[in-house]
Amino acid sequence: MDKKQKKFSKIYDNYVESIYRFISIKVSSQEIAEDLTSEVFLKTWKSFQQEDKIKNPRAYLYTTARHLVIDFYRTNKEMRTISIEDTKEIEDMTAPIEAQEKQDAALEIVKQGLNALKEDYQNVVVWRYVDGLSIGEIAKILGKSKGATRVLLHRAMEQLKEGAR
Amino acid sequence: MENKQIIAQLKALGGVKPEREWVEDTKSFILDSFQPEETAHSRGFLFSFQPARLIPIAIPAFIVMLVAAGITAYLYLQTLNGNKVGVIPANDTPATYLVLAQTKLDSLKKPADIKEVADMLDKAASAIPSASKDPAETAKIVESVADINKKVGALSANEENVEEMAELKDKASVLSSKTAEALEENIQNTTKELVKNLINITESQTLSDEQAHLFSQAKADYNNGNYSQALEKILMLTNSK
Repeated sequence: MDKKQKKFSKIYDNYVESIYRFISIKVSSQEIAEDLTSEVFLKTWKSFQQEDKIKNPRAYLYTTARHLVIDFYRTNKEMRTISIEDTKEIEDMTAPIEAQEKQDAALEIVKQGLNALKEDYQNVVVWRYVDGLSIGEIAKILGKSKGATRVLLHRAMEQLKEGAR
Repeated sequence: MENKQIIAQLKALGGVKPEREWVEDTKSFILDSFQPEETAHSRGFLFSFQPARLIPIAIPAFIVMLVAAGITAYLYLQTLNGNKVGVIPANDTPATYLVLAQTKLDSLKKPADIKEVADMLDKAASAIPSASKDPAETAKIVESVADINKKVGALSANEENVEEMAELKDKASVLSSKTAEALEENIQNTTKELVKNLINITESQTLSDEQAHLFSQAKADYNNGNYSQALEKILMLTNSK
């Protein structure tokens, strides 16, 4: 493995899980999440070979992931995720009995609640509460100030809460 | 639902992970699919000496050798025949021509001497753009040109050399303006190099929002060729640390 491959390998190891999770929350199947995640890293690897260095790998990967998910939904319009209203119906219909099933259903509902949010609201919530990024780190990815990022996160949480009622 | 409950559920989504096998397979696939482009450097020094690669270099080298042998034979035969052969300075850089011109200016006697100095200044002026890439050479040129201008300015024409003197003053003026251009380009190149290095150093540093903003403006200036402005912004962001 040459120097470049070693460097990229480190980036891959550090971020593959979070990028997969980020995509997985936005799409409907594991297969699609895997395909899109591979594509994110393939694109990044190509850029890495040309530029040798990526200034902020996390921001670069998340931005690429966002664009790929948007492109995916653009070409597969019928696969758009369901709204909060639909999730309530699903909740009523499934009514799982076992505890694990209950937890899975709760996760599925929160995932669907997230998907009903605007794209930038969705991202900021996932980065903050799912991936555990700091406000500063999120601000860097978004290219916004910390204050603007806090406001965005607050509005996103308000909308998510509203949807969950 | 309360904020706390929502956050707890969101945190539970953190448990979503890809399968280990898929992670490993994908990594190998990505790294193996697109190998970095091979460069002469990565292929090693000895790669350049493979016979097939030497052909494009060998043909022009052979032609140059033939021409050099021809010139040597011509000069030798001319000398044998008793003809005077023109002497080209061994190190024909602008600085060499200028030093010769400076010396010659001290002992101008005939109009032909003035013409000879004018030719030297002309040759020096046309070679200045390539020589100006070397700062040491540029320094020598600037020094000589200042002295030549002083000497040429002190010369006065007479009936005998009025034409040659006018040509000399004209060539000296062209030389001055070409030197000034070269000097400016030299400063520009030095600033460019300096800014490039500072950008590389700053890239790896953690910057505040304000500094990051200044840095992105500095990079934009650099890309647009406004090196002095880029330097100014980098210095500002360094001072605001």
